[in-house]
Order: sequence, then structure tokens, then C-alpha cells
Amino acid sequence: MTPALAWITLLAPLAGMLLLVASGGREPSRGFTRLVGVGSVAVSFACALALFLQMLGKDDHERALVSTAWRWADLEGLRIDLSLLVDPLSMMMMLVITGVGSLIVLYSTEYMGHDRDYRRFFAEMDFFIFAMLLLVMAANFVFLIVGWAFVGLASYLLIGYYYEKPAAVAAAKKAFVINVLGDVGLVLAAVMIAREVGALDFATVFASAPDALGAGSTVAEFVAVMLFVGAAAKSAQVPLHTWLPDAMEGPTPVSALIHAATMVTAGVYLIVRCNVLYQLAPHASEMVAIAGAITLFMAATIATVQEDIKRVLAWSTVSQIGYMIMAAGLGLYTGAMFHFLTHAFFKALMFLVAGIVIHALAGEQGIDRMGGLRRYLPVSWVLMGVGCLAIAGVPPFSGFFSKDEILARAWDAGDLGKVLSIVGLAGAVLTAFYMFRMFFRVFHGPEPEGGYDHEPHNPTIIMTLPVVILGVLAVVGGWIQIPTVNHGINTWLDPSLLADPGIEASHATEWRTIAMSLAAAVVGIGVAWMIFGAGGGRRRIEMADRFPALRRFLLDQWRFDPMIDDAVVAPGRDLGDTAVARFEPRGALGIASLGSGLATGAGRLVRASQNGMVRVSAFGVVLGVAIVAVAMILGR
Amino acid sequence: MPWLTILLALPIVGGLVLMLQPRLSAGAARGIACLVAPATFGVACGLLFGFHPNRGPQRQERHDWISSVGLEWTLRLDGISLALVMLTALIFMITVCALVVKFLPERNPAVYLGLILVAEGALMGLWLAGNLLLFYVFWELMLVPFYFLIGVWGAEGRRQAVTRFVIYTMFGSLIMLVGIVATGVFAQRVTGQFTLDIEALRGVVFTEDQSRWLFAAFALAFAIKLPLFPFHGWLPGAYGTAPIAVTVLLAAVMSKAGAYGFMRIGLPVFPDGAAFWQNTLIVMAVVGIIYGSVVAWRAPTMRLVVAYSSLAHLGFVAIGIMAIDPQAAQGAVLQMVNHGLVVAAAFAVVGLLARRSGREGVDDLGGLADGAPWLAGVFLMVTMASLAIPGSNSWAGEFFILVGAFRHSAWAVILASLGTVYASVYMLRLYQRTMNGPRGATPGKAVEMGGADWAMLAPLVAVMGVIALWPHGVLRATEHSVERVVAPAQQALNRPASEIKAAVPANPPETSLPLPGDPLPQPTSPTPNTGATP
Amino acid sequence: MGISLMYYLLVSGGLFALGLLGVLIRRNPLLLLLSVELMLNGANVALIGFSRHWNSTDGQVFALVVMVVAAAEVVIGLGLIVAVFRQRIALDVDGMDHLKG
Repeated sequence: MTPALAWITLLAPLAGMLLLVASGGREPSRGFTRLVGVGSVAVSFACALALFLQMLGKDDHERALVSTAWRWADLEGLRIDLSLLVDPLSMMMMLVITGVGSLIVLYSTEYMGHDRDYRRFFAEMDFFIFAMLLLVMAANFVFLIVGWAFVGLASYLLIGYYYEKPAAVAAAKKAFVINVLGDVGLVLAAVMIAREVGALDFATVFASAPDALGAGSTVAEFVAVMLFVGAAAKSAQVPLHTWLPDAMEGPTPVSALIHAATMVTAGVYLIVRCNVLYQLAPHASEMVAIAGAITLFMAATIATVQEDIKRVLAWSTVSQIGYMIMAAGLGLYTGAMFHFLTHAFFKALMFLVAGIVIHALAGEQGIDRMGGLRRYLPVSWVLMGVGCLAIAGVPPFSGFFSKDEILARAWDAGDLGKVLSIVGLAGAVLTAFYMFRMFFRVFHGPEPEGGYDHEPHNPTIIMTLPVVILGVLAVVGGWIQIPTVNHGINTWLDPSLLADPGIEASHATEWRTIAMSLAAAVVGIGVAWMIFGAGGGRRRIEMADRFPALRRFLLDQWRFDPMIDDAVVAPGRDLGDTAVARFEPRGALGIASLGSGLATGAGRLVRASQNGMVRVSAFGVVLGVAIVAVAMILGR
Repeated sequence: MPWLTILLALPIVGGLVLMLQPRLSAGAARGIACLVAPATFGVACGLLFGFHPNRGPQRQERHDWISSVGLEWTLRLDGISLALVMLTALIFMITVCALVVKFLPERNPAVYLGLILVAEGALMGLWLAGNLLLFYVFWELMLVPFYFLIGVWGAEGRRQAVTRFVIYTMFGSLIMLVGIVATGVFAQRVTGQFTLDIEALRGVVFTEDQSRWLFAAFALAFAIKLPLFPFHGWLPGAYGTAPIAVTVLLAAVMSKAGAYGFMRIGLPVFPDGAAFWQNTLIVMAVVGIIYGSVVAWRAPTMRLVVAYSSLAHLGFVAIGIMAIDPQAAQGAVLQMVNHGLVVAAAFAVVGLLARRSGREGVDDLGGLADGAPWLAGVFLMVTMASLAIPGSNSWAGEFFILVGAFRHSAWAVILASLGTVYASVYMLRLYQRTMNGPRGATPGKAVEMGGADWAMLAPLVAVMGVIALWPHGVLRATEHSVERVVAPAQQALNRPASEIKAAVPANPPETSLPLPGDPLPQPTSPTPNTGATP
Repeated sequence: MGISLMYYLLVSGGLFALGLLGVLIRRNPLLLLLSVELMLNGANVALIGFSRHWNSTDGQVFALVVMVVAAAEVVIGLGLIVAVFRQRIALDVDGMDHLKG
């Protein structure tokens, strides 16, 4: 494999960004921006593809490439290099990032066509691709963290893209702060690793971790938990998930790329990459799995009441990542990565279709202002249908295979696995329900009262083509690993998984799970059809008033935001306010004012003697001399 | 050539020339200042050549001055000094040539420039001083120009601010003076020779009580200068009322004096004291980080946000030093440089905004990114560097500090790293309130960067970028010096030998053996001859 | 032998006491300055007397130094007085109490 290709893959988007930034003096033509913005990602994708082909030609054990640029730091023996690692795991991520990335950037050229900050958008998108590639290609924890933080920065910039909107600005800040919390977790994990292992590059750490950390030791658990803090913040897992729904303030292509397909799955990548460390920490792994299960269920329930098309998809993303995290926590690393792959396809697809709908309705996002769009946007109707079937887990669409793999193997992964598998099934019912609720309400049913102001318009080929490609992938993406037929993902990832526990589902479990998840999908879709599809959605209104308390609770998103505000934000803010108003004007905590008070008091006493009259001072001198003289005479 | 003396004499002489010609036209004063500051930077760059990272103090210049009180003109250069000399020369050059020259006050511009140059010289002297008393002389000398710069050219409320600044600092430094005298006297009892040479004192073993109290005397002065919580009472006033160029200098360069003092004198000369006070100082630093962060979060004016962020960032430096670990100390040195660059840039941006809009409050502006994309971009980079986003230069330093400190003070690291979360809150507040959101009264076009602003910010950002990509350059230059500084204190803490990377000097040090004619030290009690049996 | 030390000291003490009295009771700064001169010269007499007594020139050297200092002091003092006079402030030291604490 050629190291230069890896570096070009990484640096092409960065170069694109720098070029766009540097051309800022005079606004460049849109054609130039399009060329650079899309071209740099495309170059990156081409190089990744070339690397992939080279990798296919190698044996399993030769599929890892480490390329070092220079020594970043040598800290008293802790050597940290700026180096890249290309192995099957990062290869898979790279292909998804650059591939889906190219499609979405291409789509954006039209979607963002009317925006006046065209150039800034593409510069920031390119920066994101660069950062995400750095994250997955880094060969040590330091640059993993750097990439980790840079994607956070890119996400911040793109969520706050419409920076004159206060809501967007607030959402961007929230996302950034929570992600910094995640960074802190990662940094603490890295610091602990540096102390125990004395190195930070993946190869050394994973090779010596079993001896240096020890299986089940407190240190290993600490590392794993801290890594999960990072993963949870980035991948929107409970209780650090609240930023992702708000992140929908960003433009839709951003939501598709960053907040669905790639960045939010970085947590999954992290856990899979650190599989050795998680195998050493059984309790932390269980915690990860449970957090994932809670997240997937909670997010699925919340998604059932959302009225904004992008928020439905956002909560569904949270829920689907919950599946991946749960799988990773149970040790089903290949299952997690498989679901990451299919999810990247179908979720990006659905976001882009949602973008087409929003575009067609001139920015309208509420699903109660939609309906009957099947007649206006037939292609989108088909594509959204494909996406919904895929996520609901209907064969032969891709989501079926990956979700089924997780649920089946979870069942055979111990007692905890059985419980979580059932939670996953419940989540699958809800998933099918809320996706088709959205689908029926947007594309079927009556048009909103008063009809549409303008006739919804179909997009051009530039916008349609990427969506169609993603649609095809959403159908066939699952076929690389069909139960009992082939094991594409398992064999591919094998060299990267140093500590795969190798949990396999028995045939019996396999078939039972297939039957159950099919049933789940059918039940979910059926209920959604009864309420929202059949008869023009009359029953919807009745249902809404049936359980007001539950509905309120779900609309408040399980009341996480106020809880976090009360517990974390308010104390710091109040302390700051008190300090600014009370402590600071008096010098810190009055310690200084105590000192100055004493000095002032003493000064007041002495002041009387200093009346400024020269002759009094002179008399003082004489008096002093006299006293000294008397003392000397008497003292003799 | 005595380059070290030239390095510090050049700005002082230049400054005196300017001050003695108060009627000099502003143009001529500018010309002289813009000649002297870059020349100093040139000399500093010259020191880079021929610097041997693997040797300890080098380029020694030593002359008797007032030997009866132990004052000698001793200048030495090691890695730590070099880092700070470069930082000082760079910041002063940029500030003088870009910020000050463009926005010269109307009252006595020549004196203003002259005072700034004298301050530069005093700081250079401080970094290079190899003698405790000389260190003290520069320590006090540096206060004089800043006193006048704030007191004469400052904003409203400068009187109170500058008085508070001077009283705080003098309080500490007078106790330090007592400490210096006591150090000399106690050391004489060990070595039989009255010397205040820092290298000679390094090897002197004080009794544990002496070491503790002497360290405390010095530490108080350093803690006030740094400042550590709760000695930061002077900081908001001084940073808030000084002319912006002076604030840049105070925050970027002068605030390093305290940290430098700990490294140059505190740890190597009084290792037992450092070991004794270690946890106290770390607690103060951690409290300072969190306290400074929450105050910065709620501070009303832009300047105060940056000022309090400085309190938090220097807390990290203090942790890095007091962790008494070579990795952490390396991080601390790197972080001193980083903080100087970042805070200078942050104050420059804030000053630019305040000057163009005529407003100081955080909430007074808004939506400026619209008309000032370049400023928004640069400010974003500065913001990110200030909140130490991984990949920035500040993060490199912070990470090294955390790595080193975690070895023995994990609790401090965990608490301190929460400070970085707060950092994102308050820096983003500053950035978003000014650059994003609905537009305020000032249009963005009015604040877009001009030539002088580019001249100020572009070099800073460039250096920040270089350090972010290659911190190894700084680490390599400081590695050996830092090891020497930390080793005695490590030994005092009974750290495992594998962590101690430098030799600890012998007692009494060879360089300060009694001279002929000096009173001999008390002979140690003769060892009883146990082997002899009748 | 010349005159014994005692006489020198008597003259010196007398001069000094006169000067001191002057400093304490006069309010005109000019006369104050004069009185200070008297005190200084009183001290000078004592120095020279001791110098003779111990047969050493140190005292005379010191007396010279004192004269120089006295001259300098008078210059500054007169300068101050002139400056005060220019401001049309009454030449009364009791009125000059700006240093009151």
C-alpha cells in the first residue's frame, strides 16, 4: 500500500478548505467554489478507493499500514508521532466518510445554491471531512483526540452556520460544550494510558495493555469508562445526547453527513478500535451496552411524537446509534460496524430526501404542514420508502441484516445480552412505527389546510443523483453479510479486532430472531398505517389526546434538558454571578480587604501625628534624640 | 561579545534615550522604538544559534558588582530562559511595532514608548539573572515602568487599580527580599561563603524548616505575580484599566515572572520546601482554574473575560510546575509560551473591538461576523487556542501537564480538566456574543482587520500554528534544563530513581568551596573509630 | 598643648543648641535654614575638635564633607523658598502643611 495515497486522502480536503479560505479576498465564482469543494472530497475518495483496492490484494496480516510524517513530541520518553494508520477498520470508515461525503457535498451544491455564504459552507464541509479522516486514520490516541476535537469544531461551525439565528448559535454552543466534555474524557483516558503503558500509539498500547493494565483492574475500568464518556458525548448517548436534536438547526446536508452518517458514529469507531481495552474491562463494557440500550429505547419513544421532519430523523439517529453502542458494549464489534455501514447509507438517504422535501416547500420543516406529497415528488416518495423499509428492518433492505445480526448475536451473549436483545426488539417496533408515521404523514394523507403556497418542485439531477445512489446502497448494502450465507464484514474486520470475543448466534437463535424482527417491523408499520395512513389520518387527532401526560413527557424529551440545567449549568452560573458581584470587587474573598482594613486602621492612628508642620516634626526628632540619650545614660 | 548583557541593555538604553527626550516628535520616537525592539528580537534569535540543548546554563557572564552584599552581575541562559526570552522579544516587537506605533497616546508618546522598552529590558534581565539579588533588582525594576504606564495612560479607575497592583506586588517582593537575605545567611553557615549565586545555592542543603520557610517567602511573591488564587486581587483592575498594549504585555509576558520564579528558584534551591508546599499550591491552582473560569463566564466586559481566563490558564502552568515531574514541567514551560501567544492575541482582538466600537461590554456587540469575516476567522482561531481545543498549541502544553501531573496527583488533573469544559463555555460566550447572533449597533464592516491588526495577529497565529504542529521544537530546547530544575525536588519527594532524569548537585557545591581566608565551617563531628579494638 | 577638648565641645554644643532652638521656634523658612546651618557648624566644630584630640585627619575630612552637604542643602532650600515665594504664599512654615496625613 502506498503511504502517499493515505496522506493525499487525508490532506486533499484540508487543501480544499485552505484554498477556499485563501480566496476570500474577492468572492470567487460559484463554479470555482463548487469545483474545489466537491473536487477535493472526490480526490480524497478516489485515493481511498485506490488504497482499498491495494488492500484487497494483500493477505490479512499485511493489511495495516503505518506512515509517520514527523515526531510531534518526545516527552521524557513518551514518544508521540504524527502518523497515520490504515487498516481494515479505518479503511471502512474512510470509504464511508469520503464516499458518502462526496455524494452529500455534491448534493449541497444545489441545496445551498441560494445561500450567500456559499464559499464558507464548502470550506467548513471540507474541514469536517479532513477532521473526520484524521480521527479515523490517526495511529495514536493524541491525533485521535485531535481529530475528535476538530470534528467537534466543524460540527460547531456547521450547526451555527446560520449564525444570525439565536437558536442556531445556542445549539452550536451546546453541541460544542458537550463535546468538550467528551474530549476531557478521552484526554483523561489517554493520560491514564500514558501513565500505565508509557506509550500512546495504538500498536504498543494494544499489545501491552493486557499486561500493563490487567484484566478487570480498576485502571482498565477507568480507561474504558473515560473512553466511553468521549464516545457518549460524540455519539449522543444518555445522558450526553441532548445536543443532537438541537443540532438540526444546521443545514440539512450537514445533518445528513455529520449528524447521521459519520461524526456521530465516531463513538462506535472508538469502542471498536479500543476493543482490546474493553475486553479488559467487563464492567465498563456492560455499562456501555446498558447505556446504548437505554438510549435506543428512549430516543425511539421520543421520536414518535416529534413534529419536525428533521427532529424525527435526529431522534431516530440517536436510537440507531444506541443499537451500535449496545452491540459494541456486548462485544459484537463487527455487528456494530455493520450497522454503522448500513445506517450511514439509509440515514443519509432519508436526510437527503427530507432535504428535498424541505427544499421543495421553501424551508418548511413541520410535518403537519406537509401531506400528500407523493403526487408532487414521486421519486422522493420511493426513495424515502426505501429508507424507511431499511431502517424498519424489512428484508431484503440493508437495515434488516445489520439489525438482525445485532439482535441475534446479542441473544447468545449472556444474560445481559438476552435482556438487551428484547429491549432492541421493542425498539425495532417503535422504529418501524415512528418512521412510517413520518412517511405516511408527509407523503400520504390529505394536503395541509389551504394547500401549498407554491407547487412543490422536483430537484434537478445534481440533487437527485446522490440520493438515488444512496438509495441503491441502502438496498444492497446489507448483502455483504447475510446470515448463514456470507461473512463479508466479519472477515474484513478480523485483522483490526485484536480481542474479538467471537460471539456467534446459533442457527436456532438466528431464525427465531429473523421471525421476531420481521414481526416487529410488520407490527410497527401496521399500527402506523392504521393511525396515520388509512382513512386520511383521522385517528391521529384522537390518539393525540388519549395520553396527555405521557405525550407531554415525551415532548419534553424525558425532561433531560431542565435536569441537566439544574444540576450542572445553574450552580456554575450562580457561583460565577456571586463571585462577580460580591467577591471580586472587594478583592478575592475579602482576604485582601482584611489586610487593607488593618492597614487603614493603623494608618488612622498614626495620622494624627503627621500634621504636616515642619516644626512639630523637628520637635519629634529632638524628643527622639533626647529619649535615646536618656536611655543610654540610664542604661550604663 | 557579552550578548546576554547586550540583549537586556539594548532596550533599556533605547528606552532611556526616549525618556530623556520627552519632546521628541512622535514620528522620531516611533522610529527609534521600531528600531530597538526588532534589534532586540534579532539578538534573541542570535542566541538560538550556538545554544546547546544538552548543556545546562550557558553563555555565563559574570562580573563583580557590589560583592559585599552578594550582588553580582551574573547572567546565564538555559532552555527555560531561552523560551521566555524568545517569547518576550517576539511579543514586545510585535506590540511595539504594530499596536503601539499605530495607536500612540497623544500625551508624551516618547516617554510611553521608552517605558515599554525599559520594561522589556527588565524582563530580559529577569529571565537571565543568575544571582538572587540581581533577580530581585529586575523583579522590582519591571514594576516601575508598568506603574507609570498604567497610572498615567490608563483608563478610568487607574489610580485605584495601579495602587492595588503595586501594593500587592510590593508586599510579596519585600518578603522575598527578606527571604533572599536569609537564604544568603543560612547558606553561609553551610558553605562558609556568602553567595547569592543561584547555581551555587542549588546544591546547598538547608534544614527542612529553613527550606520550608524560605520557599514560602519566595512562593508568596511568585504566587502574587502569577497570580494564584486567592492572590489575584490586583489582576482585574490592572488588566482592565491599562492601555490595551500594556495589558497585552502584562498578561503575555509579565505574568510569566511568577511561574519562572518557581522554576528558577523555588524548586531547585528549596526542594524540601517545594515538596512540603506542593499540595497547598496545587489546591490553590485548581481552585484558581475553576474559580477563574466561572468568573470569566459571568464577567461583564470583554477584557475581564480574557483577564480571568488568564487566571485559569496560569493555574495549569502552576500545576505543571508543582506536580514536580519532568513531563509536567516541560508542559508548563511550553504552556508559558503558549499562554503568552494566545492571551496576547486575545487581548489584541478584544482591544480592537473595544476601540472600533467604543464599547467594552460583552453584550454590547453582536453579529459582527457578517461584515468582518477575517476578524471572525482569526478570532475563532484565537478562541479555540484559548480554550485549548485538542490540536491547538495550548492543548499540547496542557496535555503534557496533565500527563505528567497525573502520575502523582491524579485528583488535581481530574478536577483541573473540568476547567477546560468551563473554558469552552466562557470563550464561546465571548466569541458568539460579539461575532454571532443578531446584529448590534456597530456594523461588522467597522471592525474588520486593517494592516496594523494583521501585523499584530498574523505572526502570533503563525507561531501558534508552528507550535501546534511541532511542539517537539520547544520541548527539545527545554528538556535538559527542566530535568535539572525538577530533579532536586523529585529527590526530596522520594520519587523512584527511574523518574529522576538529572543529577542532583553535591553538598556543598564545588563551585562555592570556602576561599582562603574565609572562616571555615564547623567541622563535622569525627566519626567514632568503631573498628579499633584493644 | 593647645586648648583642651572640653572647650571645643562647649562651643559646639552651644552653637547646636542655638540652632536647634531656632529651628523649633522660628516660623520663617529663611531663618529656619540659617538655624540648620548653625547646627551643622556646631557639629563641624565638634568634629574638628575630636580630630585634633585624636590626632587624626578623619574628622577634618568629615567636616569638609558636611560643608559640601550644607552648601548643597542651602541651594536646594533657597530654591524651594524662592519657588514658594513665587507662588505668593506667606513665608510661614506652619502654613505649609500639605503633607498632613
